[in-house]
Amino acid sequence: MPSGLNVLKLLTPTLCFLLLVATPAIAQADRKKMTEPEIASLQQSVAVTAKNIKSLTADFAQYKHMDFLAKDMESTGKLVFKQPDKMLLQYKKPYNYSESYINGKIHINDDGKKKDYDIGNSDVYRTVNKLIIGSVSGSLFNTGEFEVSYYKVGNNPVAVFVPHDPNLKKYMGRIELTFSPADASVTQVKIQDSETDFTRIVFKNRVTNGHIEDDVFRN
Amino acid sequence: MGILRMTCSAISLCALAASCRPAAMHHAERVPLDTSSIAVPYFSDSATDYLYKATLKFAGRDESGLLVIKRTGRDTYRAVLTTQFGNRLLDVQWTPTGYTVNFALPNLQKTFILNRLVADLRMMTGGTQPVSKEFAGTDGKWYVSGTRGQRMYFGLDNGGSLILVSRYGWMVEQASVRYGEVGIQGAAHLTMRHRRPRFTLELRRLGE
Repeated sequence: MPSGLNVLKLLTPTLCFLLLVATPAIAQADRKKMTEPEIASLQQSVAVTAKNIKSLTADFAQYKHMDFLAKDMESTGKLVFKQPDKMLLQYKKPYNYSESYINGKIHINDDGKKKDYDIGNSDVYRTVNKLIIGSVSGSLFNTGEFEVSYYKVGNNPVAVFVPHDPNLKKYMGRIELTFSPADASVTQVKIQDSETDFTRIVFKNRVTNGHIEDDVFRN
Repeated sequence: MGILRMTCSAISLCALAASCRPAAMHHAERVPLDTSSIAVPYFSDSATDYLYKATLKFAGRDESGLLVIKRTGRDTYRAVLTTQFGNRLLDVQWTPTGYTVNFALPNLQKTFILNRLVADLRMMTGGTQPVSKEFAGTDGKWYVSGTRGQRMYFGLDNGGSLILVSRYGWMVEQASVRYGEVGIQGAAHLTMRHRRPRFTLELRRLGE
């Protein structure tokens, strides 16, 4: 498989961090640009929410929409996160596949076949790392790696991230985060491949700050 | 000495003749044709998204992802290979005579790679092919299409289900596709083998 796949693997923890809190997706409606005070308020609220999360478990459903398909490709699984840098993403249906991220390595369990990847010091990883730290520290919006624009869809704030790095841009043209107006948690993440195709991930049964053993991440 | 040389040449020719078609066909005998064409039926429903878990074995490595194939027109198909997370690796559509790349990772954006990939996908999904010869054996029967420069072999089991397609170029196998657990809904397992470069793509149907 091409080395670009490794880039995609690196993007996964970022996406998961962006999904720290999620509730069922809201319907899309007309969007309008947020004002500067609204943007500042959102950034502050996100920072507070992110700071309070020490661990997280959640079930997720992932929908891959492609315009030419009769229905979305759907998969479900579980996300486990523990500060500062442990992450497990476990697909259960319709296939068994999991990846965990510990100490700069990716551990893959593909239906019983296990292998490890060293993330190394790639530029992309550094970008991703900034994003991870940024999303936890609340400085996500100030990494400089993305052009960020802000909208409101109904009452829900939406942040649209477009990577500056052309290499990163090949893999994700645009990421849209929709936040809850109540607690600034992310309610929907949409990764846009093209004008018509996207991946949408929805989380449910979320539990924050529960006790999680490190063994969980040994995949 | 001359006789020895001729004998060696004859043996070599026999060996070459035997190797220029699928091994399972070696004991099959030529029989009169009972059809003028054959089609791969497993991707023929344009209302169905054929979704597979894909495992690519190449240069000692195993990588997995998802492959979705769809018939988008009378003679057109589209295939998209993604990671488990939904990121596209390859998005290509093709007709019997050409193809269009909607997206490909930089490492795949090479004409010789894309030509081979599309040729293999085209063989796997099929379309109707005129056949010129038929062979029958104890395990089933074979249909042959094309010419020596580009020949296709279609292997059917005794129940009449297509289980193998093999493509040869100048008597050397280029690629083959084996279909497993076949039925009206398609094939539950497929194994595609390409010779040069040598790689294997294994597909397991999802969502059925």
